[in-house]
Amino acid sequence: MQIRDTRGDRAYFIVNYSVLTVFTLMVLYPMIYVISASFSSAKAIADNEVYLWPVGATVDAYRTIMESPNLLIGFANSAVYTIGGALLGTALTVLAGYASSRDDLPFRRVVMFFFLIPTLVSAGIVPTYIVVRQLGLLDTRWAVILPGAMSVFNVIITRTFYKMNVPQEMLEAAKVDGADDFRFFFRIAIPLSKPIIAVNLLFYGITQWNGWFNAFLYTSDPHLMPLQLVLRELLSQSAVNPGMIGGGDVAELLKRRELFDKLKYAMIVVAMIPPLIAYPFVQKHFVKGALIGSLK
Amino acid sequence: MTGGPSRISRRTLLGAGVAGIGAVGGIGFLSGCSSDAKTPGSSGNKPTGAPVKLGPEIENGPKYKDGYIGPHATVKKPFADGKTTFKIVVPQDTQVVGDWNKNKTTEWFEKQTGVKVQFQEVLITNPNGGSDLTKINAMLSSGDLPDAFMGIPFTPAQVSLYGQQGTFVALDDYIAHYSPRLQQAMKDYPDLRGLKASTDGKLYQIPGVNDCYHCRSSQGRAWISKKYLQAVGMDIPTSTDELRQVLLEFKNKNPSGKNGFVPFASGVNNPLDNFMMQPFLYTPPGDQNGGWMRLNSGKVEFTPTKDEWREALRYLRQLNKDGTLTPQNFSMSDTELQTAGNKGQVGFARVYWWGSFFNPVTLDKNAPWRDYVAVPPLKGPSGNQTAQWDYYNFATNGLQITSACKDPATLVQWSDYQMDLESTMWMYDGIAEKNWFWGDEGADGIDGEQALWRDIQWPAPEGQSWNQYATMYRSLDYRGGQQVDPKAPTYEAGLYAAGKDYEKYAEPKEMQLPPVIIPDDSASQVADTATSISQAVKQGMSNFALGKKDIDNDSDWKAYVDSFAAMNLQSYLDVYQKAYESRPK
Repeated sequence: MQIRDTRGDRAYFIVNYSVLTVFTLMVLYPMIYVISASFSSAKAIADNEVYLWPVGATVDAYRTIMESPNLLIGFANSAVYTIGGALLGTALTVLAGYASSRDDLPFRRVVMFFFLIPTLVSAGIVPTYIVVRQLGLLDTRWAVILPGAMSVFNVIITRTFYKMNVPQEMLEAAKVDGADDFRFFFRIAIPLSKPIIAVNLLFYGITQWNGWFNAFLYTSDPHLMPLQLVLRELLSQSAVNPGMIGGGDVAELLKRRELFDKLKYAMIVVAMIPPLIAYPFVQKHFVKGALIGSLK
Repeated sequence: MTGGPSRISRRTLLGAGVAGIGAVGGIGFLSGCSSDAKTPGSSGNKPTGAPVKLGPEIENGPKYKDGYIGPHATVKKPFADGKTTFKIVVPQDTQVVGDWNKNKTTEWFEKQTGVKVQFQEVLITNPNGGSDLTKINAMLSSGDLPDAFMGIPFTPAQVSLYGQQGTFVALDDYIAHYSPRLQQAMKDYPDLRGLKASTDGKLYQIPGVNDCYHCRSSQGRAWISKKYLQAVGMDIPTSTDELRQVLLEFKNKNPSGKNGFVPFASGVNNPLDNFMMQPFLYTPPGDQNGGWMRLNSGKVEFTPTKDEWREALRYLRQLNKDGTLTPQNFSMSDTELQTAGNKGQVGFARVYWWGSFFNPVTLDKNAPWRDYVAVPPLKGPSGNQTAQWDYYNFATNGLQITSACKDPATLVQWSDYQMDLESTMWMYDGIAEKNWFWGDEGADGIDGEQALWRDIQWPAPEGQSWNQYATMYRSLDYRGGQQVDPKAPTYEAGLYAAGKDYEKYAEPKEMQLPPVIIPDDSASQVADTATSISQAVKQGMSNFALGKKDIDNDSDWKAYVDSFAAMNLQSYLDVYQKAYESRPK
């Protein structure tokens, strides 16, 4: 015989599922709307006729995006920046995080404080620009990946992870067995920290994928533009700024608006797809990495 | 990308171990350049030889209408040897210009001038369509200077500042020598120089002209449906009383036969005061950046606290009591206006043009927007009848030459070649004889006279034109000379006609406050005050019009007027007065 749920249990389930359903809808509806709108005709969108399913279905928007000369370049560049940025950022973070987690590191506090300085006081755009310029990085891919390659926030998370999962005792045990620091780090610390590595890869990857500012500021070669900058440029070419109304040309206004109506939703979809694909694969590590602590 | 000796000097600087002290390097670089610019004698740095003269008209050129004022197509001879490559920063525009360095107009223009240019593209617009000069400012402040900037929307205040700091080069001497076309444009448009000059009286940029006739009245126009007017048996209103009657008829008879009919439409970006106040007094448009200020015998005057404004509010209140003016009139977004227009639910609209309440605007002969005509300015109870007319919006930004440029003379002349008619056509419309042609003999332009040119499409296909970023000379006659096809009328002719209707009632030129440069030290305070003023004016307008405050109650009115005093209106006006009096001529 099945054990009947108590009233409290049932109430709990009902409330729980209702809340989760509402929450899911809140997240899901905008996505469905954007996808539907991206397949709808510009007129249907202008007339507010799209609610759930595409109206006047068309793939015009996607055709225009695909024809945009820089889009494929942008995709390829974004892939390079995402992978490069993720690998470099993760490597730096794991190194810094592990080292600063060790109690026997001399000047540990000073080093950590040094890391914190740039997060507390940021120099601003112009000085950073000068540094990048004087290092000869302007208009190179390095200018997109290197500035801000390591995030101090991630270092702190990683440090905490090592503190909790790779304690002093483990190191001592390894040393008794004859392992030196490098051996310990590569053979024991790294394999134990797969979750935090996955989290770092995801964090850095997503940041690079969504990033446009470094490329915007430090490069002017269209061949170096990441996807987000290509899309941003498309969007800015199509936006009508209220200040333009009245001063501008009618032809210019029309051109912009046609482009905008056509593209705005399709562009969101294009930019959304890769992270959407990546998330489920990293998600399990994500939960582990951010939440699990203490020894097993 | 960054060629030239400055780069090498930076590298050696780096090698010498001074790296890291970025600021020091930057300043050294900057001062090195400005002293460069002041050293006379270096190649072509000061005007030498006889002033440049215009060549003869080209063969098979266009037919100019009688009394034509504007750019001419003259024979252009290359004047540079192409040994130096100039680095010029331009706006990024992949949709129209494409790759600047591979653009067809770039190629053509290099042949015309002999000047070699390496364009550097910078994204200067944000996704809202506003300008975003982050990168430009970073370049300027860090001393990473190109030879020139072109088509960058610097404000006059910025140009003035960078000019006086020595970053931009003063150009008057060069223009006098190398720019016959610009000199002509400044004669044709006597206000041009003053609008783009700096507070110290010098000109730090090459100005351009883009004189759009209908744009001069576009802020304050209103439109009405002929079809619906006929349906209710009324004529186009000519006075405030007649408009009130028309709106009442619209409301009571609902000629559209549809639910949600809006007798009177206006909205956030199409404020109603631009049209509705003018039967009572001349008041310029305003927004969070200022406005609502006019000149009265040379004195700057704020209009929303005047008695005539109160009269206008009384009239709006009356419309509200009639039920034809609703809170919607202050809140409709652009999308809402377009949805209402597309559905045929608009009777009378205070908007910029058809595209403000129709989307898309097709060129179909029976397209619904063609039912709407401009309503000429209304006559008020005391006989006032004005149209907001902008006398000053024709000036554009052309080129700013920086202190890093070794040979400003060549760039000045290069820029002047752009003001040639043929160049202007190429830059605006792409490849000759492919996307644009000279006007057909006997064909009419927008202004109803001999057409100067015609085109297939604008913008030209990607990679052909420079969009609208060049130093241009697109005068009134040039723009009016765009050939119209009587069989396929576009909106241009209708907008031109609307402009004609409004020009008759334009305010006297002495009443319009020209754009002025607010000095740096009061800029932020002025900006703050402008924002509060804008909020108070808009709130006051809707409160009084919708009856939340009583317009007939003197204490309500006084509280409204006093609220401006509390915002320090007087010192705000004083700043404008001073800026107006000391403006460059």
